[in-house]
Amino acid sequence: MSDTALRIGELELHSRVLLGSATYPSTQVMLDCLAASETEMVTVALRRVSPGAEGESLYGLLRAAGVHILPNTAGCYTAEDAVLTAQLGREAIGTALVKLEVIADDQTLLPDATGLLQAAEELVRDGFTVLPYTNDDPVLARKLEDIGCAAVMPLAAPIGSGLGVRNPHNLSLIKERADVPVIVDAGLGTASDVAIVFELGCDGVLLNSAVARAGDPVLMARAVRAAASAGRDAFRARRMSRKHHAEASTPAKGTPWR
Amino acid sequence: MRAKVNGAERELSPGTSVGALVNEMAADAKAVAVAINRAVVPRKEWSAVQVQEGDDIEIIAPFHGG
Repeated sequence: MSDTALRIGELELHSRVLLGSATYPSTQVMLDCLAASETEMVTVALRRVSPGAEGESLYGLLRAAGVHILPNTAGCYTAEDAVLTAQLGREAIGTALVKLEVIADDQTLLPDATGLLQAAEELVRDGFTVLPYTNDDPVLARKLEDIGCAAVMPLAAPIGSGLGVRNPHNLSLIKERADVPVIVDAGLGTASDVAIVFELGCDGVLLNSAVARAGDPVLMARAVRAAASAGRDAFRARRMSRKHHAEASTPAKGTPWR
Repeated sequence: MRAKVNGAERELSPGTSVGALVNEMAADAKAVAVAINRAVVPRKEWSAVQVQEGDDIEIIAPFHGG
């Protein structure tokens, strides 16, 4: 019954839920969500320091929480900016992990496929463990894997939309053709979306807004953990085949008056 | 000496090291990284590297992100 670990590069994770660290109502709520979700990996952005900032740094809080820190390249619109941001993240945090984002435009926040491939190639060559945020495009996902990315992170729906899995068929195709973990990132809205991702066979989820912007973020974090576990178990249990017509489960044999 | 620090033009005394600038800008320098003119300056070089006239310096740290 016990499940295998999720392997990302050298790392072995026992939780298949990754969480973002943005837009929680408070730092304490964020920490409570990390605990409730049982996540082992949390994303951070890299931003300019502000003089006079007080209180424990996010870095210190996440280290104390015992999670792996996954720096992202959010806000980068070119491969050059993304590569430099990844290098700054490695220097700041001392990790070769990077969630690579090369965004096409402000309105869609969709990945820029050509910039993404270019940045991924450079970062893999530079020794990074690259987790690219990508379109739900099986061809692009395969190319990213061929370049040497440690995982692929297709979107479920646009970032922050909470629309859930828009194209389950494409996610299945990506998973079917991938030898690296498929971690669905962006657009998930609630627990059932998480269960669907795992039932499709994907290996992990990364959520931020779905938890942080829920009415009760900590309760949603708990629901997400349970949904991940249920969806994953359902996938491993191999669901029944779908049938066009009804098929009675109660045997007809011995039915009275027949 | 003029240099740009996190997007703002600043007057700095000649000979200012990257390390001194980081200490002034960041309360907690634990997880800070620096780029000058779009190249990372490794932490071990912070005390030796001096800011030059016209440098474009970015000092960053982990922040809440998704």
